[in-house]
Amino acid sequence: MMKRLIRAGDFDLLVREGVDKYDLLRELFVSCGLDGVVLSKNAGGGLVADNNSVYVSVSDCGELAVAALSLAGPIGVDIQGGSARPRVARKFFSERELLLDFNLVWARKEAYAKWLGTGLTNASLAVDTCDLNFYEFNLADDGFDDYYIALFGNDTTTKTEGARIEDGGLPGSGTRDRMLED
Amino acid sequence: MQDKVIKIIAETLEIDPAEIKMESNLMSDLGLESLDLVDLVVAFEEELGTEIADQDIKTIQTVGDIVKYAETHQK
Repeated sequence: MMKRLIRAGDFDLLVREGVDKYDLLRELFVSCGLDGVVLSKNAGGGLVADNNSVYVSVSDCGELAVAALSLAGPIGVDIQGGSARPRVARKFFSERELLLDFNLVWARKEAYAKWLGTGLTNASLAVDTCDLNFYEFNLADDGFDDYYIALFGNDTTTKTEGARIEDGGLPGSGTRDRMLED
Repeated sequence: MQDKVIKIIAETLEIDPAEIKMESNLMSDLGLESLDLVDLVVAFEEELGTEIADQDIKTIQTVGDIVKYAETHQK
């Protein structure tokens, strides 16, 4: 069963096969020594920590779930795979977005909407994600060729560069600042 | 209208129309994800001429809700 921890910028992200996204978030909390944080949902359906001490976002698609957290500011994460939806692309994708993989662009749009805290709206979907900076990952190396993860946050000033990916198990607690080896 | 709505849902989700009941909940019974919902909304716009406003989407829970909405908002 696939399981990866990704650290980039100021966030930690855990992606795993065959688990509930909220269980995955709890696992990520424990790994970072944050298991005492209480979460609730805001009006837009997003998860909010009790005292804004930590910012989180979760997503799932098929058998894959992803959970992300940051101590620095709001984040939005999404995972998307499966068939492209031509109708959706025609209505909401820019000319530049139409040149990219459908699942990548959709993951970006959902991640951006989650970061905004509004959920998907006509306005959020109309934003050209090529004008924004995302961390984004393709899971082809794990056998999920058409699956993409996109993460948007306050500090996504670079794209995939700088991300470190760790196979298998979780790091020890309290080590979130440690740079993982390639 | 009911038959049209069920046909669009079945084609979009690639499921048997017989599985779709008026009382079917879009999320819990039919397993819609957010992309499915957006795809459906665009399909209704294109095929029924019914535009669903952002604030109205949250009020639509079942197939029957869509039928009612389409009947009252069709252009």
